[in-house]
Amino acid sequence: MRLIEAATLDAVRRALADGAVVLGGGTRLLADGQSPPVLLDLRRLPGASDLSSGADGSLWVGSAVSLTRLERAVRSTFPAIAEAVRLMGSPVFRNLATVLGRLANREPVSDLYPPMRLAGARVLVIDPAGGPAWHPLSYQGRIYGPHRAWLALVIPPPSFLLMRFVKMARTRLNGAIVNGGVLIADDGVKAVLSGVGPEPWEGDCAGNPQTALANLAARWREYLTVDGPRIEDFRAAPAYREALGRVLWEQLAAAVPAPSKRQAKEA
Amino acid sequence: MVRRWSLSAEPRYAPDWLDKTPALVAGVVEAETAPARAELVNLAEMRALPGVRAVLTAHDAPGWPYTTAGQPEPEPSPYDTLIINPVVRYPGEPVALVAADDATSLAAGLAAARVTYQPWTGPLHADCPDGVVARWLQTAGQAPSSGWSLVTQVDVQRVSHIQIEPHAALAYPAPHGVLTVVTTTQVPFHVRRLVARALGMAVSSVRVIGTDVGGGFGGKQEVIVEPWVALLARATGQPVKMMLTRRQEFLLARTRHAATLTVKTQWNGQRLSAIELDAEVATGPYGGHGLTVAKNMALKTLPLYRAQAYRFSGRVHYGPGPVAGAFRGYGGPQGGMAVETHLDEAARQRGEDPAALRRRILLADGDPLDVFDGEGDAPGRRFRGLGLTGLLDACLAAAGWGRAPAPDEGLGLALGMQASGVPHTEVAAVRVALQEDGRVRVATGAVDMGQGAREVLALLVARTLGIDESGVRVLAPDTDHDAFDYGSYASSTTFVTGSAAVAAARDLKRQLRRLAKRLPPASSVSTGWAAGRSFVELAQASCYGPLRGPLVGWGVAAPTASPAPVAVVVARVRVDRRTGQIAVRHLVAGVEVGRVINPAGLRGQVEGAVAQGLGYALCEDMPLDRAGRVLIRSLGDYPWFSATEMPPLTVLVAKSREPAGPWGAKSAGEVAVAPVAPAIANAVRDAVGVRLDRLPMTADRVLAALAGSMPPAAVQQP
Repeated sequence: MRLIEAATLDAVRRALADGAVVLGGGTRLLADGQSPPVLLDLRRLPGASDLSSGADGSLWVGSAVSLTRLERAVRSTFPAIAEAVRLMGSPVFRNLATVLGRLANREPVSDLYPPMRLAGARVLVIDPAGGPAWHPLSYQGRIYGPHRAWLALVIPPPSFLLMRFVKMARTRLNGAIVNGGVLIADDGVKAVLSGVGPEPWEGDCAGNPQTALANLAARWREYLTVDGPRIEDFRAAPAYREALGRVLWEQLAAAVPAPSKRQAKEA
Repeated sequence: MVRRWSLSAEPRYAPDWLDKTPALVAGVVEAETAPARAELVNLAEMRALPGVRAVLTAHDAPGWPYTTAGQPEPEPSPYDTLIINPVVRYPGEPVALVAADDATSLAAGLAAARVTYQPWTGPLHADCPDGVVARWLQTAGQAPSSGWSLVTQVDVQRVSHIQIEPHAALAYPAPHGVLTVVTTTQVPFHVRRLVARALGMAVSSVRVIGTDVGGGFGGKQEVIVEPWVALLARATGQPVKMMLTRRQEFLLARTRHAATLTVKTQWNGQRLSAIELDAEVATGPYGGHGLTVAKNMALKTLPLYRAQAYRFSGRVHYGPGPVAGAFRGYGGPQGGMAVETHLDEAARQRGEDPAALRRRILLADGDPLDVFDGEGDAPGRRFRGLGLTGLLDACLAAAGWGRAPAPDEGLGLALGMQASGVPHTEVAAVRVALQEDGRVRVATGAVDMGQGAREVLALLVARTLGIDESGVRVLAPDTDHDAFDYGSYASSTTFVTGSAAVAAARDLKRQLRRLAKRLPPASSVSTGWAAGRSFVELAQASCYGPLRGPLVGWGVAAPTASPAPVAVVVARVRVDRRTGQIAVRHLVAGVEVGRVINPAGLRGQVEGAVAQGLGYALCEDMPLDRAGRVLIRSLGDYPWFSATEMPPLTVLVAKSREPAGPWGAKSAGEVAVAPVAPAIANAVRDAVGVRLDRLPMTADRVLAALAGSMPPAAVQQP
């Protein structure tokens, strides 16, 4: 195994062209005695360990920033992200695992993805042909796959009234079955829920939060009842995932303050 | 006693030995499908690969059948395996063993293997056409034919040991034709004998050095990796090492036995007139510990309760999947889930308090520990649990038994019992050697696997000699030390090896007393057994001067007794009716283990047992795909209870003293595992009225039971 500790972007591009596998997200990288021929360590790159706020209030998260550091940094600004981190594994794991590593592995039920997606996070991606370039964090985008490395993630300044994250797992922490988040803003509601289909379900609806929430709830319920691809693994049967999906929405909706009489009348 | 850790360059665990020792690295060509006759078709090509030093197939391996179960002779387990079997019986089973210069060459060699498979359609083992490898039928007493009766059934799953340190071993040829094996094992002397058998060698031609064990839980009472590296070392003439990956731990190591258990009780008014347990036990493709684990499903449950008649029937079946083996509790958790949920259900259907019912039929001081064998009256063969009723009451009080629970909350009670070593068969020898500076070294075949064997043996020797335990060093096991011992399993170390350690220390003390009497008077007043001499003075005199003669104490324990520790667990749970999730709000675990030798160690044993019991109850499972391959590939996949998820736990210890045990002690290592799952199942029944009869009690199963889509229990009444 060859380890490349890249200190420049050119070195990163060359390593990716050689088929190097990025060390971040290495929980499963070396599992079972696997031995990738070329391993790429990004920690020597400038900014890799940085966790800093920009002038506009955005938060830069370098590729080597641990989950624990992120949790401390966003407790007051993004409590839903902090909550998602606190529900991930043990303290030892959170001290070692990196934020980008946990996101760069495209898992059907990733605990960090819903709140980060709702927060509008963007990732800085480089590949052998070009970049680095900023892309929205999205399962729909082209940010995943081989020959790509994530250099940083930026969370824009918070511009929402409320964001909430809920996770249901086989035990309290391990074996996530479903998870999701909702974001309430002045002009509408967004939701990202995962654990039922192979990709997270995403929805947004403009308007009064209560009305938008009800609208999204109806769309989510419809998604649960319509035949479609489902996660089938040993953690939980599809029917149970759907059942938990209903409860998931109930718990998320319960976090939204009840409307005042005037708001209800307007709605 | 607090364990004193020290920084040392000496290797301590087997992976440390492997890291330190230059050796060929070994791997397994794993069968992709089974059962099948497997043939490596490019053997010559593989052997010619750069860096590959040996590729051994079934054609190269000795044809001496053996068992991987580390038990004393005559082994109850069938000799149904070879080092490499020509017919592979489970996915992952070795088709070939490979040794190479380094990990890269090994990986290339394993990747190059091309194997053909001819499906095997006959019985897994030709000498067992019906697939039933063992049967039990035991009865005692005569039951009346009438009365209220109840039948219940439970299904329990296979689970993994999840010890942190994987199986790992190193083997190398040594002078005088000896083959040395360094391994992480609970049973060094059984490893020596079984490796010798598998390779067709004399037992004394194999030396086994046991390392400290980074977790065993019974999984290292199995001889898995050792014959593989031993064979490769003999074939190559070089040191060979191997450590299983975590995926291979799930695939190639052992599991707890899955089983379906049926309990029938018959009642004559308030009395339990008969209790019957029937067990259908899945051992996987090899027999191993199946016979004895099945027997212990009854032996660790039925004697807890007084009945006029007892009956146990069991059948151990060969089948697909990974091989089952010894696992902490050894039949107790399976039997406990069956019997303790049954009694709870009986109480509820009879309109009784489950605690009151148990109190009425609970075994008492002097009752036999093996209801089928007609135990004699020797100490340790009848129950001596003077504090048991008091412990039960204390646990109930600590859990708030009888107080009205919150909505969807419930309380559940279960009991469990264990042994202190295998009844009638144990032996341990311990040597205590006095050093010239007054310190002592203890040679033993018992193993420290985190359970505190070193601390307990040091304490027992120190107390007997009247010295501080810091002056006692317990050596790592080495079969060349000749301190023969069956090893650390069956909760035997404190009771069996501890008894031998006390005997050895007493022997040394006798020799010191004789020496003291022969020495000139130490002062005007010669008092005490040492005639006024200090321990260090006597040690010095044993090595230098006119009475020189190094002193070594020798002690042997071969008890026929196996006193039973008992555990009481009360669980308080809340069930979320929308998700089916069970939240354990509080657990009370009370134990009666005789006199406590190491309080901190005991607390650790109980906490660890409860954690394993919780995983067994709520989340752990090893699902297979249609080919019988384990789907779990990493610890990330395996749902288990981590330390951060433990519920509040209250540990209570009954004051008692076992007359047959060293310094009044019984065992404590396993007893608290078994009652956890039934206590939780009973608490769920109390909380929401559904009886869960299948482990693990996952949320989806709870939800299904609440919806009525799953029968609450296989309950029949006349």
